[in-house]
Amino acid sequence: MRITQRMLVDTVRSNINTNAESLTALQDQLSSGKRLRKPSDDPQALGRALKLRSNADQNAQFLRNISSARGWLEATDTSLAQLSEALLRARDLAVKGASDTLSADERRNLAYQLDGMLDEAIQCVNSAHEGKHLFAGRRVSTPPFALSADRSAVEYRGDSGEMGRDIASSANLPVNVPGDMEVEGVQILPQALAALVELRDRLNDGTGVGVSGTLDQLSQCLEGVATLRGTVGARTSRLNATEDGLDQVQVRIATMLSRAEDADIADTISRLTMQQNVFTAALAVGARTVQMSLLNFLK
Amino acid sequence: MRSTFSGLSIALTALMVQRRAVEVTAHNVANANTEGFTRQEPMMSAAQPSSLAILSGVGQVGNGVELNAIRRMRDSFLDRQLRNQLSALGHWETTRDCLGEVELVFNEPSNSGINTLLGRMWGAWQDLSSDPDSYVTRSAVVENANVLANVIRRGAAQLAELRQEAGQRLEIRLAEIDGWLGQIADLNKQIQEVLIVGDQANDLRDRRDLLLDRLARALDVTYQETAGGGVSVNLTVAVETVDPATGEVSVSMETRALVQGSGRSALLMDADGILLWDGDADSGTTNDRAVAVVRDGELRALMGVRDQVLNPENPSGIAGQLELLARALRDQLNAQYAQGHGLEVLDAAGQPVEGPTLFFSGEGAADLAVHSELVRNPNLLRAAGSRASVGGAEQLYGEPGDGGNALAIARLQDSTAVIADKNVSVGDWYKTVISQLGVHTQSALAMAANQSLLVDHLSRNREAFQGVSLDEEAANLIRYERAFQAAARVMNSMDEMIDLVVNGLGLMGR
Repeated sequence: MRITQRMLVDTVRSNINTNAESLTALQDQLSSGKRLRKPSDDPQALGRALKLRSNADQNAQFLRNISSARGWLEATDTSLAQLSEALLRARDLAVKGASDTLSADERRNLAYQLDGMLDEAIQCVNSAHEGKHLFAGRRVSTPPFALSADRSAVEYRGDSGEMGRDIASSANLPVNVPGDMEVEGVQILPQALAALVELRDRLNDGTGVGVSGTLDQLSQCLEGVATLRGTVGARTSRLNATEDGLDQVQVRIATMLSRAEDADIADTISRLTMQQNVFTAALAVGARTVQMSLLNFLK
Repeated sequence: MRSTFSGLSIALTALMVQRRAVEVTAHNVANANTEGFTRQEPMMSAAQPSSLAILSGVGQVGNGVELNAIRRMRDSFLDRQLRNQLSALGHWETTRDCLGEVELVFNEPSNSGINTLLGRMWGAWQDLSSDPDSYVTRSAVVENANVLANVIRRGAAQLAELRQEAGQRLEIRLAEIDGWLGQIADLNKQIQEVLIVGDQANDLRDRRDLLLDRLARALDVTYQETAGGGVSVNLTVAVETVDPATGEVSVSMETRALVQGSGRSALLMDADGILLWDGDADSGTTNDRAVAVVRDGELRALMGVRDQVLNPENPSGIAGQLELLARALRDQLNAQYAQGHGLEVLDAAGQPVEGPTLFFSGEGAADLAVHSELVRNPNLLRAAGSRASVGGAEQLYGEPGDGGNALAIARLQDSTAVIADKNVSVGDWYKTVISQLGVHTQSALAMAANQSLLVDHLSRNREAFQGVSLDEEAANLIRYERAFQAAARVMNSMDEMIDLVVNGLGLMGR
């Protein structure tokens, strides 16, 4: 096969160019730390990488939701605990008031104390978290429980709406306790407030009649509130478990994403070194072959 | 008896032919780096011998050397092989370059591409469902959705720009092709004139072959050598004939000439971007339309990019797929959005108003945007799932803690829609589409690289046959020079012998 000068030069040039291309690609990877800069670098890895990124972002959102849910649940539990305490003190008063040895005045005194406790209890159930009332259902901007002007009845002005947070894909955790939530068919919070009103009225009329009747009511309400707190506690446990799971998943996703997108630095450096050697050799050989010619030897 | 000076004339033929051979060598050496040059070889043969009756018994006597022809060392088979592959190379290199630019429009994987921004928007809806009456979360939804819409619009705009560029490159190429066809026709005429006189048109042929190489890269023409030294360049066309009576269109595949002898036709692009062959009037009635069938070459790549990849109406090209994405997102989100209710908002007269029932406005990817009224007043955002009731009367707005519709919208992230006859979520559709783009680009890269190697190999083969080797020419120089020297010596000795005869005969004893 005839070899012309042009062929020699072209061969040298195209080989040097090919080597330089490989070198540039490796330098690119090394300086950016990424082996996946555009879809054509590795389309299969890209598909995985996009999916992993979306999963990670979605999980981060769930973790944010979990944090928000925890805030609500903790605030709810605190308010219920305070209500529980108020009910206990009211029950003690009821026990005292049921005693036959009390005078009417003493009973009215107790009634007066109970009125104060009523206000306290209403304040409890009207408490707010981040500017939203906890027990109003979805009507979070208005206080759910209102005492009538003559202080004879408590009206519930919220609704029964549940508000939840997605803590996993399509897994919604309710975070609130609507004011009219029922436990065994009884709306606990309205019932508790009504019981306090009832007790106050019974004590107020001085006779002591019917006071012991309210004891049962109060006990029932205390159990009801305990049940509500139990529900909140169960939700919190679920929250914690989900959060732990998600944290672990996030770590796994980050590892897989790195595997898909990032360059293996050690491997890339060794390939770069090898490629540099090849490049140098190509240059050296090219320089030698191009210079040789018969004309060098003719006189 | 032969002439006294016949020996001289034999030496003379040698001198002339060897010198001519050196000139041919000089021409080769001078053009060692000329693109498309074919080396030339002087073809010598012994001159017609004479038969002498007087010297019968000896046989024929030689008459020296003559130069038959200066042969152009070109293998037309190697040319053909190479040109076939040049078409494919032109196609794949252009496709690779175009797809490379298209890939960069989407900037994936990154934190600012559509994949991430889509996820952020769904996240904003999630935040809204947790906190429906907060102005901050409402604004965040509008903001994130706007950023997403912006990026989609910009992507569509950039693809449209690339499409226009492809169209312009196509026009430029067509103008170049037109020039080349004209030159080939001219060269045909010139070569013909030279051949008629009996000469060889080596350098003109070289120029014509170079043009054919360039043409092959641009589109897949076929060519044939015709008698008289011309080359006819042909193209397959699909001739659409309209039957004047019935109006039916019938299509037949034919071969039409782009260059025939010194005549040529034109390749035009009509207003719809279709390539037409425009020949002489004898191509038929005016109802005929000859659509050029280009299956390879740069033109094919550019037309493919313009009509398939970047055409927003083609659902298998990336521009069309972006279009489908925008529409599916808009429709899916708007459908759920319309079922929700906003916060209590009063107009200037104090009357309650409801915001628009659309979240995303726009026809497609080019004008996708968040509805302007929602941008002005995010409180109109329909986050609530049901209407509030005040004293038993249903209101226009929802409860402040109701984020049910926002939650439903956020969950669209994982729910499927029908996109291009597939049940897939908007996010998954996008991922699939971008991966496919990556696959196409990667395969174009691989094909271009392979084709380039193949063309290099065939080029080298051709160069090995037709190229100038300076070493060879140097050796030839020695050869011809020595022959010239020897012939000169012969002439000297003939001269001495004739001198003896002319000046020495008949001078007895003087």
